[in-house]
Amino acid sequence: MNASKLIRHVMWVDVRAQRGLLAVWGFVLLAQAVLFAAGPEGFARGFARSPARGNYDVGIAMFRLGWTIIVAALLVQSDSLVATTAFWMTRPIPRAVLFTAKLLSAVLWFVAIPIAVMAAVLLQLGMGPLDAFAGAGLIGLEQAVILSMAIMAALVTANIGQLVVAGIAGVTLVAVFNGLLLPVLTLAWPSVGETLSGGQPTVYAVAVIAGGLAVAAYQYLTLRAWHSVAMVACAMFLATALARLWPAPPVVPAIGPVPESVMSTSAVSLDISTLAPRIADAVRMSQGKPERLKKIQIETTSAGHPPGIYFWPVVVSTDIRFPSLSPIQWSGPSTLTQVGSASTDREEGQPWRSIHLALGDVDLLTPRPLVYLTPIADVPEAAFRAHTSTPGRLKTDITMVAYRYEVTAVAPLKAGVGFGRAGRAGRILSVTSVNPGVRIELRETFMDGPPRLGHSGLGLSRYVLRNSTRRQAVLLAWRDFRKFTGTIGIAATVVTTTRGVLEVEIPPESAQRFSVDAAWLDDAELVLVEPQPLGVLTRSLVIDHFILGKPPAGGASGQPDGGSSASPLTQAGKTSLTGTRRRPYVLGPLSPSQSRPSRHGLRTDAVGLVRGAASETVLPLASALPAAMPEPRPGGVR
Amino acid sequence: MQYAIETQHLSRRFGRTEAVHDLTLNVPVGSIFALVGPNGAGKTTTIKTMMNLLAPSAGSARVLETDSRKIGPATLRRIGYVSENQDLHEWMTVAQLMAYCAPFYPTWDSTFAAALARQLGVPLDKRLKTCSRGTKMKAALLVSLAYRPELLVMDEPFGGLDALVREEFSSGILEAVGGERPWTVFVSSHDIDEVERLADWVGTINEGRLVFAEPVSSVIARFRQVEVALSDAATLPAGLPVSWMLPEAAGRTIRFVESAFSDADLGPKVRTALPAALDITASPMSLRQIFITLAKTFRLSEKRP
Repeated sequence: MNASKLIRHVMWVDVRAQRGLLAVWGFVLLAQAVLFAAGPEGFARGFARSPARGNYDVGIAMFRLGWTIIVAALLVQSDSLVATTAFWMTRPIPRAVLFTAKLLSAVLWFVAIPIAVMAAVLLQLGMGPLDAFAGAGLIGLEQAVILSMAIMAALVTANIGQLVVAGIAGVTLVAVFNGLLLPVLTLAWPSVGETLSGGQPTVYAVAVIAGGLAVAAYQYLTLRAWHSVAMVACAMFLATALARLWPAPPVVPAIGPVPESVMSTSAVSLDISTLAPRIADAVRMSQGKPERLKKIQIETTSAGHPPGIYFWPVVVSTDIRFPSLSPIQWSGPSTLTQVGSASTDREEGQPWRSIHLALGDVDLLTPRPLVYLTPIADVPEAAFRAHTSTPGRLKTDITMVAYRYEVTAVAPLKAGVGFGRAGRAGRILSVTSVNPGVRIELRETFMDGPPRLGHSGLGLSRYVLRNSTRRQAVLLAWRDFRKFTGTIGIAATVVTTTRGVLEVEIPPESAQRFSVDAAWLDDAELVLVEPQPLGVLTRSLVIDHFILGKPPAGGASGQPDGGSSASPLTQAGKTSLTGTRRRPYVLGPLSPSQSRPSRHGLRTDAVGLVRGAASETVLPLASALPAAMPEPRPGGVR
Repeated sequence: MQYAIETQHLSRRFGRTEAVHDLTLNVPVGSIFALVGPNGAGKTTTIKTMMNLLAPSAGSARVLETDSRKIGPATLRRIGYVSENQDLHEWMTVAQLMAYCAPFYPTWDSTFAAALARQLGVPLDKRLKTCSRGTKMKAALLVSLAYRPELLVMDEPFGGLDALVREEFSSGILEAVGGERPWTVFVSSHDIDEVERLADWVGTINEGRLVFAEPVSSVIARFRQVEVALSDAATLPAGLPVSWMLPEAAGRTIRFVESAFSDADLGPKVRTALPAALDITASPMSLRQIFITLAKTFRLSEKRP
């Protein structure tokens, strides 16, 4: 019998040996597929709404990965590579045949079939073929990582008991290496993969898979278990080191600066509003321990650019110098916080004008302007408290991305109509006219691929109802929004399906301009508008005599790359600040959890790490932001 | 003489413990060689080293003219292996185990396998995990004989089997190897009765060291239970010949086991060591008696400081 027949023979025997466990595996895959296809609340509306709901989608994904570990380990251990009592060792079974058969079985059952199932689901949900397979590939990547870990452990253990011991030992070593709490405790956390890698999850994933393949090949061909144990340790160490050291994806450099053909950037200035800096409490994990911080935030506005373009701070680099004290240096992502609506009408820093222009010649009802705060420094609480009223000189470089809204999808406002663009597919489930207004139930599926600036930053894709006949449009806001994830974040991105309800509020004063009634809705279409990035721009702000707790003695100047002026800072808060650390505070890449909406419904946005100067690298974590996250409810429309 | 198994100064250590020490052994082609010894003597380690399940710490072993470290599929196709410690695929039925093994052996003889199954009384449709220990061993023997190996290696195959199963097992082996082509059988055991019935060569191992290895007929020929009647009360003198094992005195009689018996030499040897000897009686011993003698001797030597 030739090698290929022997391989098929061993594979078939393995299928028969594990048939019970594989049947459960099939059920798990099917359950996840059906639940994902049904979407949030698809089956368990009451349960999904209950406080005990938790992350049952994550639970299913975790069970999928856990079952993968058990069955894959048994697949390997059924023909043990470490016990001298293994039946196969005294039979003329070529090691290469056994290795190939086991590898093919593992990949078929735990990678290929999940990919096929998920791809089918995504196709059924309206995704294009490429997106469907790319999204399903994310599940395949998760599976392959866990599979590699399971196989590596199973190669050097004789039974599940030993595997558990080896797993605990491995996880403990990783925890020690990372200087974190035991990752066992974090297994319930969705971003466990990222936690373990501590850096670029995809790099970690690929390195673990490669390491797993190398160790498996070595152990099957040589049966040198202790060498393989050493190789497993090296593979995991290298994977972690690679993930940590791998540079962040150079998204902003790929976009480059705002071209002069789009606008004259020299005219663009950055201002500080008259609002006082806000000091917010924050906590970050430092070497496994929580560290209390004071987050210093200011509101910035941009001016001097065309009305269809707006700017959004993404990275900040701050340096505060004091005559007799250590400087405070900080650089990090601009995790913007919306703090409410402005009391006065203005267009600076607002996306409404851009959306209006994207929609064409229509009368657009827009919300009142929103106020966002830009963090300029995170200071440890101890240092914050230790500071007296010593004045300093604040210089902060703020890198912004310029955006312009564009229409990316249009659909007639009818139930059952599908729409979408690359990486995003949606369907209108129902349209209900309310008086006044409309209630639209949407089902959407997202595949977050490589970071896409166009769908982050202010980052909010917006839905608009447009009646071209009447040349009128109105912005919609999410009233309810639920999501179901298909992946748990071992890959850098996630596959998500959502169900949400859009409504429009028509205040009495606006209702006089036009009324969204049944007749109006008959001719309406649902329009998806999304911000498209134009480029990046860096501006510096300088404030002399900067004191928190006292009004500044001097003014603030904003210079375009070291040039023009900005409005003065009229109040600097009530608490003074000084720095005690000589080293700059540097943040790592944000985890997806950091960029999710807070439980209070406020939206925060996130960007990646800046190393060195602000103009060097900027990474908006679009990948971490489902493009249709519910926005904060606007305070109203005008 | 051609040898199916040859070891040269073979040693195997586990940490500080030397399980096999400087073992040099030759198993002639066509022989049924029994390696006997007490528990922990090193029988299983010797076999695992020969089968390339363990690497030798020193020395070498050759099996079917292949260095044990290089034993691969080509050599394994010529070897049958049965061990009490072997992990069979217990989810399989005996028939499934046969179907699993068959494709790996070009010489697999399904007719012969079926005949063996009948002869051994193995239920083909019964899952191994529900089978008795004896049935599992017979199933292992079945899938180790069905391709007519040149060498059958068995590690403690009789352990825990009742008399009837042992009988069926031994008969199966004898019938299989008694065919047209002579097979070599290497069996480790401490079941002396079965060894006596099966083996034509025997080796004894104790504490990892080979005591002897020779044809059974030779062993039986050179061991004698000797009883010497003396003219007066007997006491054991110092300096008895080293070939006299377990000497004991009772009344006017001294008994011992002569391990180097020669009809012509025994009388002079006794009279030299025991001048008061009046009558000398030498009785043949069964293999069982011989190995009991050896075991007692090993135990005594262990107790000596």
